[in-house]
Amino acid sequence: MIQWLKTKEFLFLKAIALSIPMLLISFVIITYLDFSNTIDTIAKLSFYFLINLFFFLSLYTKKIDRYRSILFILIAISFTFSFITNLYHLRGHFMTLTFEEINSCEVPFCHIAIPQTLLSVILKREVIFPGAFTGFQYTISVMFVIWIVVSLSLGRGWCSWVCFYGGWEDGCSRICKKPRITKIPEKLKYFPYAFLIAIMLFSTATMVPQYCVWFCPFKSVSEFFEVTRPTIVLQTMIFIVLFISLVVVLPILTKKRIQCTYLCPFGAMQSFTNKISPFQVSIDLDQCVECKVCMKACPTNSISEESLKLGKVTMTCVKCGKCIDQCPKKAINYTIRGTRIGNFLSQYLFLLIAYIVMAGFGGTFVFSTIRKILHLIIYGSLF
Amino acid sequence: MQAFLLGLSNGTSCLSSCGPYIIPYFMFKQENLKKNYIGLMFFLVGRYAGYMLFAVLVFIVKDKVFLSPWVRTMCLGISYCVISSILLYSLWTKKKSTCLLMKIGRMGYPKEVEQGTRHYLNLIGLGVMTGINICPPFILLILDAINAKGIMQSILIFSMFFMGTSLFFLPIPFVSLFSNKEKMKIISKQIMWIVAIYYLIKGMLVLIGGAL
Repeated sequence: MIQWLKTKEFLFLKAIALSIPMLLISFVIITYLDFSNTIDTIAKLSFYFLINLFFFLSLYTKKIDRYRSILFILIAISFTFSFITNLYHLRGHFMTLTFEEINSCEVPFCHIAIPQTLLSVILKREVIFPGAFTGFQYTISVMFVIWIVVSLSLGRGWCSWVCFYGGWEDGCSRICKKPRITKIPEKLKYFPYAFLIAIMLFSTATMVPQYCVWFCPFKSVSEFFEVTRPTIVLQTMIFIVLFISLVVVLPILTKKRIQCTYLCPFGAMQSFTNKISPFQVSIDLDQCVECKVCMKACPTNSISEESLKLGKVTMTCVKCGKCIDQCPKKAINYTIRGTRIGNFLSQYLFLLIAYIVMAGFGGTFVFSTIRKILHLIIYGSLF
Repeated sequence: MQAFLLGLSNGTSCLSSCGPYIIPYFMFKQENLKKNYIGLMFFLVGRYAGYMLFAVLVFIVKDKVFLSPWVRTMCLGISYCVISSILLYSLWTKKKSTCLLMKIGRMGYPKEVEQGTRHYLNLIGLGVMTGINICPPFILLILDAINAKGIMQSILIFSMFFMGTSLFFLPIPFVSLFSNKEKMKIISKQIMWIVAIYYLIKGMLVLIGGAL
């Protein structure tokens, strides 16, 4: 009997049984999408099949990062595709926002703007973002609610399971087999916190979301101001240079998520939510042989020699699961605070919540992209 | 009284416009709370001096010249450049304690005295630069001061506004409580660099006519 519990058949059946809650919850999630025509139904069922397959494979093979990263990259590409095509469909121009559109407060609210708006909300009771507070899906209120709920459950897991930009970097960091640059100055890891504080102060002083206006590299794959004056030329150049260097080139050369680790102010702020999240990545010191494979694998440099000795990761951990996949002794696992390391229930609960959030948040982009591609194939147009 | 209430109602605006350089400055200096309050006092003295300068100038000139976009832009650009210079100077002097000229100028005074003096002079300088920044509530003050019956009334208007806004600066010295750890020292230094470079670029762009 005990031997049968270790067979592949049993593990297969166990993974199927554990996938049932995900099958049911993700079905509820997709039912809010439109089922009125065949293309929509096919698109929805494709996404439903995909997310459940990957959840099942994560449980069955115990490879978390392998399947997460495929979905995460898919969501990032889908977001960019669906966002840009939607912009073109609604506004008739490609990736640019005119000042009239910005002033009409119809800009979808992005989570990276959250830290910039916090101080102004506290001090002046104003949200410094040209977005609507209510009315459609990506409004300020909706994003704030999603952010609070996800932060309380996953902490900085947001950056590996939810952020619709992170997939770009994650994808680029996987292109090379070996890193070409291995030494990154130690002090740089503090820069996002300095940048976060500076951006919060500047944004409150000027009542303009300064990171969005001057530094966000992801403007290059979403939307930017219509180039009408020299200042906007400068801003656009900064976006493009930051995207190429921090999101494409350096992640390829270092195999690290450079923008997320060394610049993103949202990521810096999100690190603090790791302190309140019930889930954490823990290292079983009884099994750890200090081979440091996890240190090298971590895309955000969240495992240091000191933290390894303590059986912990640092608070910048994005909970991507790469160290869990790579550890040769299977000494690393997701745990719920206060529970035993290696407890399967902790890992299962984390994965279930993370996949549900991924399905709910990123699912709409994947669904939208599949639908548009099918529409293009069948009718010759995206809409 | 009206000026005092105007100051109170605009205190958060003053705090948020001065915050980007005064908060990192106090974080960077990492003094104890008592020394920080003394530092704040010097900052407020500088700020009051800037206000008084305006009070006297506005009364003497008796003209709306201070409200012209050119004067406002120049004041803003110059103040940003000077603020940036003071911050860069603070970074430089903390890194490299004294240059030869300063050693000569010190003439036998203990190093601590010289460093303390420099710290307080920096704060006075930052305060003066805050004082000459013509923000929207300041425009209302200038209009009041132009119509003042005597120089004392002009000074009183600016003084009351100063008192109203200064209350909002009182919590700032507490930032040092969070900045004593080794990691925070590195972070506060990096913030100072970011802020100094930001104000330098912004000041230069404003002065050469760029619109930020």
